[in-house]
Amino acid sequence: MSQLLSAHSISFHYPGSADLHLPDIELGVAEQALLLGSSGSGKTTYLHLIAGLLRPHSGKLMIDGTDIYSLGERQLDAFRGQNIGIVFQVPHFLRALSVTENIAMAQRLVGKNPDLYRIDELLTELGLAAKRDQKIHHLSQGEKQRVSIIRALINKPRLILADEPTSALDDKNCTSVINMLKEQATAQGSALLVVTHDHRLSKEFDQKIQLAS
Amino acid sequence: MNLLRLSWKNIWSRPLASVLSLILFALGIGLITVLMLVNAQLKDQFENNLAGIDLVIGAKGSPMQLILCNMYHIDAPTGNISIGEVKPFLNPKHPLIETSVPVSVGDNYKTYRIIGTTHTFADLYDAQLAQGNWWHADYQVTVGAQVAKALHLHIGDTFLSSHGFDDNEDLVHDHHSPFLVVGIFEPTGSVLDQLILTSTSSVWAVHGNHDHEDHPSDSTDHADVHDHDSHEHGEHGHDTQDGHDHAGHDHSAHDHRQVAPSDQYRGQVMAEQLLTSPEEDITALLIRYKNNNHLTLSLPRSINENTDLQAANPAYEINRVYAMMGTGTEALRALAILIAIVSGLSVFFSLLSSLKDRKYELSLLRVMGAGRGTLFLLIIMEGLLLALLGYVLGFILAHVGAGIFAGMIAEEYQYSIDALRVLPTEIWVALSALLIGVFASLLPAWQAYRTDIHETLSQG
Repeated sequence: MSQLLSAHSISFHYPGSADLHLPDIELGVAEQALLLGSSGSGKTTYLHLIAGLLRPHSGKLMIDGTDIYSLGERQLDAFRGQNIGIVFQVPHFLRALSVTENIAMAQRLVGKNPDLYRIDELLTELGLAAKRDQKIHHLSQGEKQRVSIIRALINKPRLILADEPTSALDDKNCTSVINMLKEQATAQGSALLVVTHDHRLSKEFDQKIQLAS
Repeated sequence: MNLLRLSWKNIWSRPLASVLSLILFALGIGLITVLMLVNAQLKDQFENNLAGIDLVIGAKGSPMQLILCNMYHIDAPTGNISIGEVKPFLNPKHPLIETSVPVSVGDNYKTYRIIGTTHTFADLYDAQLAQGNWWHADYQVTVGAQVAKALHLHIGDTFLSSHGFDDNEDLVHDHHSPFLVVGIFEPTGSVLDQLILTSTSSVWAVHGNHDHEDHPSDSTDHADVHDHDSHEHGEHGHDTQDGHDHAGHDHSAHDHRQVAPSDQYRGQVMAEQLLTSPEEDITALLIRYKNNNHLTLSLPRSINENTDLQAANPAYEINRVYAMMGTGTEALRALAILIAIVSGLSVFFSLLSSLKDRKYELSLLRVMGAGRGTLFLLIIMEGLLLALLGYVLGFILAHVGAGIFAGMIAEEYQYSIDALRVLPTEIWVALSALLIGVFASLLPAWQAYRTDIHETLSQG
């Protein structure tokens, strides 16, 4: 069967530093995996490589049958907007816009009309219904992370990448956020790859990939 | 469309910087536009009022004053000249002169000047009657369109004139019969709209033989003056302009006798009538040549050198007025352009400093599928929106400002400026404003275009 994500012999180096050889990854449709590594092991770099925010020195990456490094820059941006949802360690937003507008912007940027009904549904599901028209800076850290999860999900991407999504959260929020991610990914059939050094998450995933430090 | 909305919201997410840019834009654009409006309209009016007049002959003094007083009706006379002195120029058989129009100024009604002249005066401005008739007898007036409108004058209305050019109640001539409005002109777009025309002999009659005693305020002259009442009379200089004394002459008798209410009462007939009173004064003669040739070229000089008269060339004097106006306008224009450049700089700095805070937002847009080009456009649009909004504010400011200025000069000079008139050249101001907006945002947009998303996002 075809893999959703397959990364092969990807290497990368920053100017003036040694090559970073990254482990191969194979992830099936709707599968979930954890990419573990201590800080400084190149976790974020790897995530950016998978998301196409960065191009590798060598190697090949297929997402849903597309060799993403063969795409031109504009196509890669568009491909990412359509097919990859990303949740960052510290959630950032367009501060001029409200919660709903921020989520809607993710849809607009890939040329879709915002599905306000679904946005409302997800906001309600994640306990944010009352915040829908507020500016982002009125939200708590945990709330912001939940909004960023909705934003990552809204285009029903084939792949969701999460970069340390829980490191800024306490245990209670950590569990609830990771469960939310897993549930929502499962609900819409997206594959999920979480990059973390947070060992609280180890027990939540069966498939783990270890980055050498 | 969504990008436009985002630009708009971004602008207002930094209200202080944006409002500052807008104020500067509006000031710069407003000042430039108001200068254009006032300049163009004043020039238009000056050109219109040249009315094909080639030469003005009057008393010695400043040539510019002679022109401004007798053609533009915005200055005091240089003095008087007697009919006898200008007799050759009134000769209909003069080889060089096609038309010569006598002008007597010195009185006003509610600041609108009363001009004693012949019907040829109205022909200079191609004036047509809208209602009523031409003046035929003394104390009959035909009024310009603007005068009729502003003073609500109708045919059959009467009023008393006032000496000089100010609406001064101490200088009302209440010893003579009131003027009777017999006609109203169509608008001509020239100074004629602001004038009250009557016969030369009416002016002589007003300034002719009359006593100098103070009249009681309930003078019988007031009896037949209805809503256009005049004011109490204190004292007045009875003489037209230069202190030349008319007391002792009684012209009213023969003036009334001579004036025949006929349609043939045209310039030539009137000019001939003038010649019968060589000792009487007028303020100036407006002259049109038959042809321009070397004789007409040397005519002003020979008049200035060989007579007590002064001859002035309107086109030449008006160019001197432009040159004087030009210095002031140029200085203001330079200031306006400076403000416009500063407003561009303020947009530039505002965008540039906002980029520092927005690097992450821009990267986020890329993550969500926006290309580099989109980021570039986003910033350009913010600059353009500020410029556009600034232009609109400046446009409003300019036309309101021109309206206020129009009110000021209308009171002072009887010249009108249409504040609502939009000049075709204003489109260039609009385009320049937008260009400033684009230029100011080019470098910030380029920075947005080059945002290193990996690095920005790694820094969290």
